[in-house]
Amino acid sequence: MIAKLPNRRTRCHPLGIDLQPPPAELVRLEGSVKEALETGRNRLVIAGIVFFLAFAGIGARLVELSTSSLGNEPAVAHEAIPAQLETGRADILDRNGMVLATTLPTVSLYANPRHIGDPAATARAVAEILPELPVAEIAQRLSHDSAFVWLKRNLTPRQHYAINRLGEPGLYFQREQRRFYPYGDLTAHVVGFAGVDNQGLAGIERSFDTLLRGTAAPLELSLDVRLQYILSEELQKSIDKFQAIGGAGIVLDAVTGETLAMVSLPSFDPDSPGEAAKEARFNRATLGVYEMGSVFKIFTTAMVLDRNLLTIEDGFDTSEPIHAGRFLIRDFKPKNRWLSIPEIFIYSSNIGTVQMAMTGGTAVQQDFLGSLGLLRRPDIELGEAAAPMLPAPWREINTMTISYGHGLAVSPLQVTSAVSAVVNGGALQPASLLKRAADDRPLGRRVLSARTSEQMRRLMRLAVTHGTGGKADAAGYRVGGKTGTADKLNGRSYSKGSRIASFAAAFPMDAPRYVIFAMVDEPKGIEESFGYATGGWVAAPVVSRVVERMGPMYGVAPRFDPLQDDRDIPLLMTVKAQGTGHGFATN
Amino acid sequence: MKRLPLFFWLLTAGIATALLFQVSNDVQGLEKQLKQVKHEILREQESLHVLKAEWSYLNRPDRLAAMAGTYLDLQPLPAARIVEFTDLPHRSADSATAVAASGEAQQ
Repeated sequence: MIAKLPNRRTRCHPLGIDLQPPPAELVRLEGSVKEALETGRNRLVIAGIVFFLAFAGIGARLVELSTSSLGNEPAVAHEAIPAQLETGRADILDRNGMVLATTLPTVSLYANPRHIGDPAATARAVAEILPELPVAEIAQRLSHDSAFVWLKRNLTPRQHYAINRLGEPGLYFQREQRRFYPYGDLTAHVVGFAGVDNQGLAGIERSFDTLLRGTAAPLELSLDVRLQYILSEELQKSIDKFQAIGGAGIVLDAVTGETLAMVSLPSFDPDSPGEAAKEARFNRATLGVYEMGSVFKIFTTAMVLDRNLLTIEDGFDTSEPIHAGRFLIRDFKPKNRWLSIPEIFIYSSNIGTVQMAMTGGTAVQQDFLGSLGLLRRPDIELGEAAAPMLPAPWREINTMTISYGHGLAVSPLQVTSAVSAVVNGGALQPASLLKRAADDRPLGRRVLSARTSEQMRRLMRLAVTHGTGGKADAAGYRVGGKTGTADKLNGRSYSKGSRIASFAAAFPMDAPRYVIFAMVDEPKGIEESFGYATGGWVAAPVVSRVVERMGPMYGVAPRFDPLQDDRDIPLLMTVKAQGTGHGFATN
Repeated sequence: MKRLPLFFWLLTAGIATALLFQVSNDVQGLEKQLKQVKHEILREQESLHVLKAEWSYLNRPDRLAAMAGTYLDLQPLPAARIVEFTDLPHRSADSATAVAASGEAQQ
């Protein structure tokens, strides 16, 4: 075994304990002993390397963690918190920045029935806080064999606090977003509403759904809630007074085409649209199409003047009713004599207007009404906009009746836009619900000459100062307009009892900036109006009161000296000369 | 003397490590603070958002009209009360002397 003996005898302890070999002596081992020692040493080295690597790795990681978390590693704090408040749906504002629709954080209450010990007692406690939920129903939901039941969506902060105070471990809160409409039914038809799942279901909320969901920037509408309120209130007064079933009103900026107010009555609460009657949710201003009656004489008169078919000095005999097919066209208040064009307009003579329209015929009428946008769906930013109802086929008899507003059903919005083009110098601006920048003056599309527009402004002013629209005059604000009264179609025949009374107006008439349209649906004659329920009695006063209230608000300077038009314009001379002895000429 | 550089480097490494950990610790603290401030900003933004909605709600024209009727002695402005500067009558010589006289009397 021992390959080489030492020179000296190794000293051996008697008890077998190794003694230190003397330093000079080297023990050389060979064979299996040496192998065993080598193995041991190798293992030590390997273990040493492994431990060194492990510690080196840990050390390196330690240094890396302490240094690199500032730079290349994503900072967790930045990701968890958005830089901006995210509501998931942008606000909708009116033109003055008032919030028409916003998304508010709310909490909803749900329960895990498996964690609720005593459903009956919990139900009683919850029902005390949420009285609109019956105890039995809560108890039944709480004893449901599931891990999740909704109890109530969108708690008020007070309810949230009270439920929290119950300390019931099976009740949980879910943070949610809820769409809120501060102005409620005032702007319901325009703004529309969104569903529980944040999806726009009507109005602007629907037509701009993608945009509202995609950005945080609020959407600015052209509406002015103050004006919206004035129009809504005055329309409602008239509806109540004449026991009507509804009404609609629009105020347009004639220069820019912006819709300053759009009202449809009755309205509904956009916070709970499901409870509203279908009729209340119907937007009469854009979705309803009506035969507008004499308001259309504005367009017929503008047509014959603009297409040079007649001049303002022309006129027609209106003493004989016109027989056309099965119709007999008569005047509401016949003058039974020759009337000039201004007289036909201000006295609203059907017979005269039909004869005017027939100088052009069907093709000219279609072309002119088409250019005013009355024969197609308007380009408004609302899904709830109807296309007009055109006669098919469009015969001569249709041309005759359409000239005074029967046989063609259009929406109030279309009429307002068209009137705006007639009075603003002849440029049609597509009506819009979005706010324009203050210096943004769109050119519009020229549909009639500036000269015709000026003549029409005078005629409309005359209709208020001397004609059927007298009740629309707001002292100082120089209102001009045209009344309209049309029997409503009831199936295939016109019903005498139900009618649409409307008034289309603009002011101030020397340089029209605002166009107002008011319409009342099915007004009944009352004692004060001597049984009449015409546009002049029902809708014209709405316009005058709206103008009186909005004039100071919009900085329209009142003027009391008579307009140039009222004084020495041949138009009025003609009227006066023809109308001698007819009352108005003396005033 | 041979060990002096080694000692120097060890000391440098020790100080660097200590500083590194100190800075890293400070940064962590600041990040925590930043996170908290951002949370606060968000909370403030949320209350602003809610308050804006409430402001609009409180500015409902029907409510303002009712309150004006209750608390203010105002009425709608009729057009007849609006006059332009040029509509004002010129001050006559009489009224001018009257004003001057009253001014003297006061003195």
